[in-house]
Amino acid sequence: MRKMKKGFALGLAATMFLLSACSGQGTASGDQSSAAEDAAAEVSEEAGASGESGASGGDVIKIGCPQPLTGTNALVGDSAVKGAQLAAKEINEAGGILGKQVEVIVYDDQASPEEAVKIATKLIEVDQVDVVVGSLISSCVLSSGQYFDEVQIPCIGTGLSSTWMEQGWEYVFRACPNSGMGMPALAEYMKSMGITKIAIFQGQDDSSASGANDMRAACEDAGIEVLTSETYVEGDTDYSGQIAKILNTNPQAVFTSTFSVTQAPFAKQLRQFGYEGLIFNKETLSVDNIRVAGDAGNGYCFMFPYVTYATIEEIQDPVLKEFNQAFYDEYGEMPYHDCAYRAYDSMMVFKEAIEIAGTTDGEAVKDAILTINDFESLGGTQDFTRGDREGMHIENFKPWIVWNGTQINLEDWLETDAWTEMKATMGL
Amino acid sequence: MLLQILISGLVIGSIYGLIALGYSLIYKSSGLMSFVQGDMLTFGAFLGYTFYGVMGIPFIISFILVILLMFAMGFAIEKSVIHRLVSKNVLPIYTVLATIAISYIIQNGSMIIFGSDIKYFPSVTPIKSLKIASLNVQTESALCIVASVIFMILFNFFMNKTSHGTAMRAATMDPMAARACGIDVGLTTGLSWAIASGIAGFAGMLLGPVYGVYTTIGSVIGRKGFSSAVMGGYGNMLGAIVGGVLLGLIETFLSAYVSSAHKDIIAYSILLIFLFVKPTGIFNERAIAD
Repeated sequence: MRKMKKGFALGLAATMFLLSACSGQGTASGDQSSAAEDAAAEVSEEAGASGESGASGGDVIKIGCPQPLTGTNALVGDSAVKGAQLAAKEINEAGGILGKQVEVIVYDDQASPEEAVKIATKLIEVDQVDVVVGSLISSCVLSSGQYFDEVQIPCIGTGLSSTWMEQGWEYVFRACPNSGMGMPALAEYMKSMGITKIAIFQGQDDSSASGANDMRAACEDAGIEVLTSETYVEGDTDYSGQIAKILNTNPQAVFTSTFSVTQAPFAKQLRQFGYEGLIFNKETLSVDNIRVAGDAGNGYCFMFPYVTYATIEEIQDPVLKEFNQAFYDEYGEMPYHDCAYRAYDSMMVFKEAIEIAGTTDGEAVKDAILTINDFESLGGTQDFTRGDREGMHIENFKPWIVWNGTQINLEDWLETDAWTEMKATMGL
Repeated sequence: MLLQILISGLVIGSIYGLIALGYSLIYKSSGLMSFVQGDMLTFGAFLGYTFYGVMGIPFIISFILVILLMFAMGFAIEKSVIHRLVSKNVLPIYTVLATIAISYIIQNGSMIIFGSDIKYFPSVTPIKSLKIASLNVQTESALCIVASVIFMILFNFFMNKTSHGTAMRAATMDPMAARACGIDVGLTTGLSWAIASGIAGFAGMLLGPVYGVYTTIGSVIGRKGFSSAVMGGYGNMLGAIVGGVLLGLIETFLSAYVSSAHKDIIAYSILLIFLFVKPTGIFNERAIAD
């Protein structure tokens, strides 16, 4: 019996090993590994108390890049890593920064705040990075930001939530949109279309909940009434109860703040219940979601600095066209998610800042970032001089609509007959 | 609106029911609990997506291929893991743990093989939606309801009226006596896993066009299917479907008329009440160990 138990335990251990091996496997190239085994216990005060900048001081500028490379966000994380590596390649080919080559050090934070803290410790203590780009998971930036702040390593987070920028960390910046800013822009836009009553459908995770909270506040400021806010639990596939409740309040438009996998099924179910009006979303719809949603995706609107495309031909913006072409040439595919833009822009802001500072010293780089004010990026002009440590502001947001499978400029669409027809169904 | 909510509740409920049917079948024929049904659904949906969506094989052939492959996979899992553990006379909890491990392996494996993005699963029929009493219902959704009722009747008949079904039940009640009667206990248990896995694959194929395919699509459905099986009477085929539909309706109506934020708390509290007040479920299914 004992022998059997031992055998079973061994089997179980082997399974667990296999599982952890699976989850630790990265998909992007670069120097990556799971930091779990290395850094577990030393999360901490020592790191915080050391007070060193962590700068490598060698011939290479080390840029830490923690992103989710396994789990449901793996492809998005992969996009971000590819964006960062493309920036590094371009920088290096053009002679590097201050004559030094750039090295991107990639880790899989598994979208776990706990893992993010371990990785932060490893980036600071072992890799001794100069600066950090990531993570796209806001709760990971929220958990790890203070460690970079304490040792004065500038970090440009690539997540959208407003929460982690509210912590007041001097060394934590953002060069991509703050979803909190997108919401007032969106509310103002709805108002300009004559919308006065909306219903909200939202998730309960940090990003979805803060998006919905921001929208409620923005609606209050814009004088739009929020008739109801319905939530769902992650993993749910059927939202008919919530939809029934939303439609019973008779809203002119619906706003959604959800995880990516919820968007398409929600759109389909909402349309099945007979709703024909516009659906406003906190962020872009991925190309896959647009395909899954099919006709139901028509009329999804959002405000965002940029969108992803299925082909290079459909891109109007010359800056995005050039980036997408370079991305395609490098990887043989289009960026899966706008995180590629976010990471690329963050890398370029660091390049600019280090060149202004003339050194990789954390404090000097931080001060240099704060002087950048007319930096052209994929998402428009970045301006860090407003004191909020954000590069993008409300002017960077542009209105978009999903129509017949592509994302087009909302302003142009409003000129078409489709809008005239839809307007009547929305009671406007 | 009421009718639309009712239909939606029935659709998701019948999916819970199909999954519950698998749990009950495995329990009825082997006395074992399994936690892999939800992930089998995910894997089935991915296989369907590969054959039908990517390779362009006609739907009926893809459908048969998926069911056959899932059938084989269920059989293989039983033979390679469950049967070995059971024959070592380990505590039943170890086999339950093994099914949890398998569930994670399938989930992670699907992620590595198919990726973590949401996949577009083309519609399975040219008819996009059916008109039921002035309502538009997606054809696949209607198929879910019809299929679950057919499966329920078939399996109830199979378990109670056929010699194979009787053999399966006998194999669970007393394997040794069943063996003495000439019943191939190993085969019947393997078959029950295979059938349960086939049903999950079938459900996955139906869900794909409705929700798209992604790695966690089956995990919550699997959990709710388990609750449905308990509500209906764990091991009872009629109970599985009735429990599933009941849970689907409770959830949908709760979020429509009470609170979407509290629907899971209430739904799972009802499960707890069942466990306290009527652990044998609606259909009074006594646990085999009794």
